[in-house]
Amino acid sequence: MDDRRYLVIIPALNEEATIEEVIREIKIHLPAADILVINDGSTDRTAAIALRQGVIVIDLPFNLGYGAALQTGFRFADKEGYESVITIDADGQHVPSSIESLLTTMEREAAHVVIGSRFIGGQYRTGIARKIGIWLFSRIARLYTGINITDPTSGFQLLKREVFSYLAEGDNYPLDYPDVNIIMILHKKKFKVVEAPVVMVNNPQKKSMHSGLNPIFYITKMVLAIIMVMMRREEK
Amino acid sequence: MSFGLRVTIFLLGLTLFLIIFEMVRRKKFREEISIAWFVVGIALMASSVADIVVDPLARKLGIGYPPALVFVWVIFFLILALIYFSYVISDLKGKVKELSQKVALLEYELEKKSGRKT
Repeated sequence: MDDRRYLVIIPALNEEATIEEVIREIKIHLPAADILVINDGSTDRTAAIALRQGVIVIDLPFNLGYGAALQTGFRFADKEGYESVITIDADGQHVPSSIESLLTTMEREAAHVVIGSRFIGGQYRTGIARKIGIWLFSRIARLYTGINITDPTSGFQLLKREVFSYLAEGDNYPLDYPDVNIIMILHKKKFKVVEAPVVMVNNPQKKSMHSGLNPIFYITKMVLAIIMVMMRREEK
Repeated sequence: MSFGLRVTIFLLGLTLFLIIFEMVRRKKFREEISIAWFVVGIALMASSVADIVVDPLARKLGIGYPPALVFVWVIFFLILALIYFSYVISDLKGKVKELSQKVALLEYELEKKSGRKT
């Protein structure tokens, strides 16, 4: 089972334009890893293109949402006995060469979770609403966890087995978008969460996953989620 | 309230009640979900004579316009019904997620066994 150390999970919804390139890049930078594409109800050729690349493809029967797609990957990784999981977006925003940065950071910090941050070291332009949200929620997260999280919504992550097995269970992962609340839960579970610098590229013709959401709804939801994390008793 | 109005309201309630009853009988509707609407049907029938109770009660509570008391009650029960439906939807959403993830994983297993996927 030595070569079954890493699984790269790529949740994909209608990404036929970029998925091939993302897979090819991952194969170059992490040749030992297995690659799993979770096809979250795509209506284009995403799944067919991925299959042609010789990666594992799991088709969800319909669109479940980003979080639920990722969780499907966690369940697969848990069942198949992988040691670590790397999550990366299919739209080409996350640059696979940065996986190296995640891996070395995990080694150095003996961390359970490494979150790829576009804000450490590099420059990356975001909208003003997004900036305020990130600033506010990372402040709250730091107050609660003591960890300085600069990019809590980043989907570019490296997770150790204990962590993704936990997240794979039942309702432990949100249907839509994981955020600061998940970082807080992981902290509560005594997992060590750190950040590592990664390169992300702006894709001008693609919308950010948060841009479609009404910002007021998003902020209210997050505040509620954060309060709930704090209120919930430690489950066994 | 005129006698005609009482009869009309009573018939409305009765109709609602019978529609729901028939839907449950034909299994178009699950029993536990129908209860909320049976209550509404019965309440509507009862409201045809409700002024006998409501009017003195409203006066005692200092409500100048007695039907307002009825509205408060109706709204309260409707909110309860809506909360119940929200609960059912959340529950179903979670179950649908579980099921579809399981189906997807099993489908992969099955296709791997039959050698159709790498």
